[in-house]
Amino acid sequence: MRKVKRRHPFRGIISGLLLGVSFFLFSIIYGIVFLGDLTPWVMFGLGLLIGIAFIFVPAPWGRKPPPQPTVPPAPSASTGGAGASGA
Amino acid sequence: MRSLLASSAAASLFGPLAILALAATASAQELTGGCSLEARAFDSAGVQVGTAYLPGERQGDLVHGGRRNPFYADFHGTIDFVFRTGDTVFENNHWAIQVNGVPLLSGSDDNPLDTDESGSIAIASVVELPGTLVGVFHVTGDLWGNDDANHCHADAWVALVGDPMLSIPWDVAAGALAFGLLGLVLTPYSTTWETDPNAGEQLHSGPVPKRP
Repeated sequence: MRKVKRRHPFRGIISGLLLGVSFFLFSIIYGIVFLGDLTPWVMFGLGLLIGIAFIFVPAPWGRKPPPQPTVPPAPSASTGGAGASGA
Repeated sequence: MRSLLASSAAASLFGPLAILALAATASAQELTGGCSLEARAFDSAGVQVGTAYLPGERQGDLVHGGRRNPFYADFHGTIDFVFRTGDTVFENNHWAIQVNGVPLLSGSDDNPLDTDESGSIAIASVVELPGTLVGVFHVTGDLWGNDDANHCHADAWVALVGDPMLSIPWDVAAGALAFGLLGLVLTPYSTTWETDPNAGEQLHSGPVPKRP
C-alpha cells in the first residue's frame, strides 16, 4: 500500500490572494499603519502566506488508517462437509 | 481681455498648487522647502472636522497629520486652504502626488505669477469614486520649480472619516475575506491509500514477450 497526499496548491494560492486583498483593504480602512507605508503590503503578504501554508496542512477530516492487507481465508476443515454431519 | 488672461494665468498656477495643497493638507506631518499651508476640513454638513498648519512652527493641539494623529477629512466634504511658497515664485514648476506610494496626480506649470493661493477643494471632485471612501492614507506631494532649484515636499497621514461599511472597498474586503476563508477550508490536503501496481514485480526492460 502506498500513502498518497492529494494537495490543492491552486486553492491555497487563490485563497491566500483573497485573504491578502482583504487584509490590505481592511488595514487601510481601519487605519492599521504600525509599519507605515508598508503596512498594507505586509498584510497582503501575510494573507498570501497563510494561504500557501494551508497547502501543507492535513485535513482534519476524513483521515483513514492504512487498510489491512487482504489475506485469503485459510481453508477450514469443515469446508465442503458442513452438510454431511447430518442430525 | 486682460482680466481673462490674468485669471487664466492664475488658474494655471493655482491648479497644481491646489492639488499640492490637498496633499499637503493631508500632510500636516511635514512641509519643507519654505512652503507653508493652513487648511481646514469640513464635512458635508459644513461642520469642521480637521485643521492643519504646515510646517510645524505653529504646531499646537489642532495640528494633525502624523501616523498616530492623522488629519481628519470627509470624502464628501471640502478643504479650505491657504498655500504659500514663501518669497519664491516656482517658475517652470512640476509637481507630483502619491497616495500610499502610488502615483496619483502630476503636472507642470511654466509661468506661475504668484506665491500664494487660497481656495476650497471638494475631495470627491479630485478623487472620483462611486460611493464613499473611508480609511487612513499616506499622502506625499512634491513641487519643484526654477529648473529644480527649489523644492517643496509635503508628507502626511489623512484619515477620511465616515462609516466604513458604506464604502465599496469595505464590501470588496468583506467578500474577499469570506471567499478566502472558504478557500482555506478546502485547501488542506487529504490522504488516501493506493495499491502499488508494481509491488513485488520487476519491470520489463524490453518488449513484452508474446503469450504462446
